[in-house]
Amino acid sequence: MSAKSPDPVCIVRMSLMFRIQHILLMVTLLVLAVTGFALMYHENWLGRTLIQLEGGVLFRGFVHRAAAIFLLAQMVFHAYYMLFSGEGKRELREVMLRRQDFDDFLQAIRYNLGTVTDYPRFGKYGYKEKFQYWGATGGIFLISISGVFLWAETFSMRFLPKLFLDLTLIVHGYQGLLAFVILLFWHMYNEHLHPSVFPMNKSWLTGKVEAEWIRQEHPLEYEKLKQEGVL
Amino acid sequence: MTCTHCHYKGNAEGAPQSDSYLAYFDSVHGKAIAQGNVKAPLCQDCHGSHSILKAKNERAAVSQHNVAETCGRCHIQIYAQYKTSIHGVAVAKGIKEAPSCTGCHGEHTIYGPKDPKSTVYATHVADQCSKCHGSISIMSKFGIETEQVATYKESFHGVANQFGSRTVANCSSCHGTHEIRPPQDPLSSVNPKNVPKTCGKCHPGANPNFAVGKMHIDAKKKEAGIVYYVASFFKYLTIGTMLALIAHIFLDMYGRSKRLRAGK
Repeated sequence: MSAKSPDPVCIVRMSLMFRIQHILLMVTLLVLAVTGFALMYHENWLGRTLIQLEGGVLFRGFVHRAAAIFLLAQMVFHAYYMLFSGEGKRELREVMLRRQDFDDFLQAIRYNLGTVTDYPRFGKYGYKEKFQYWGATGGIFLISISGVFLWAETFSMRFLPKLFLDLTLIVHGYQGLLAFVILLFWHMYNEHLHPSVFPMNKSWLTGKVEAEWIRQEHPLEYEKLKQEGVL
Repeated sequence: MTCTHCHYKGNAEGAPQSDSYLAYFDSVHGKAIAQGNVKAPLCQDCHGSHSILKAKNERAAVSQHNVAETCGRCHIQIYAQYKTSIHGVAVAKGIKEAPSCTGCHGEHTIYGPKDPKSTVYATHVADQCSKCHGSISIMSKFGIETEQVATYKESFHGVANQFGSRTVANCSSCHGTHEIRPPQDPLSSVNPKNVPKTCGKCHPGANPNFAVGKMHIDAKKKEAGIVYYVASFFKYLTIGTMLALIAHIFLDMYGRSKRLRAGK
């Protein structure tokens, strides 16, 4: 670890645009989780209390669907931003999955098990960040599909048997639980509990990280920034 | 009404003591009398006048066997529906467990179905039916499943109902009230042929797809078929993912502490 300099060099890792999107996403997912799990676990006291706090079972549904619309709107905006804005296109290139990410993941495991000597060197986004991003994107996409089927239940059943909706209800709930588990054990570790950021990677609020942190955790990005003369 | 001259708690005459008349005055019939409806029944209209027998006596007008006919003197159409329903037929056959009018509506405490005090109020129906249909000792005599109550309570309808929704389907929304028939009966509202119409009362445009798949399912039980297996798959997938993520955290921490010790 380097000695802390009183005025560390900082660079922007999350622009204002992405910080806003991240905060909105966080709030929306929390609302969806709290209203969704209340229904899923209605039989225990926590679920019952949550349903009562959410203004009863019907208002709970209303809040859940309102949040879902907001989430879909964010998804559409995000896709547009990533595909068509200058910043979005740059970020999309950075976060795009490559063969290298899978190799990095395997190398990290091997390193941790002690069979290779070098830890992989990551660019701006390593396999952890990419798994988080694509996991969340794919998860939100899939849970939205099952959610829409359930919302438009009468319409869905014009084409699909009741059995399909029974399955969709199960799948929707477990998709939510799975997403929650991944957020808890992946995001919580990488952005909060990991020793390099503990208690929290503040870039989601300030947008900035220390150059030294980049050098240690994302060395390829550090070298690129040096080359570009940003640092 | 002179019955209460003797039949009250604390009477000195030695007639059977009862508070039933107080309940009666609060009931839909008693209230109708108080409002001057001369068609509403008084004690003697149900119990008879000179032929009063105890309710346990089969020949009594208010016995389990005869009470439907007694109520039917005024509620003619309902009586006609009830007589051919599965409950009515069972009572006529002498099955003691089957409900007649009072089995669901109560005796002196009969309220209108829109009155929250009623045993057949929208949010009370499931509990009322489950008194018999949730009882293994009663249902096993007739080979009827008792899971229906539990699976209903687990369904979206059941959850909404338990939390006070009066518009969501309860037992009688689908199975009917006085005209309940077994699903094999072509006249039953839950016969697969009639399911689209029954569901269509709330879900406009319901079609035969509504009848595809078991109605009452519990995803935690094998009887639910594919729903059970999909739920189990997701359960183990979630547990597996959780373990894999925890393993990853520990491995990553272990690797990092190695790097720290090496002074890198």
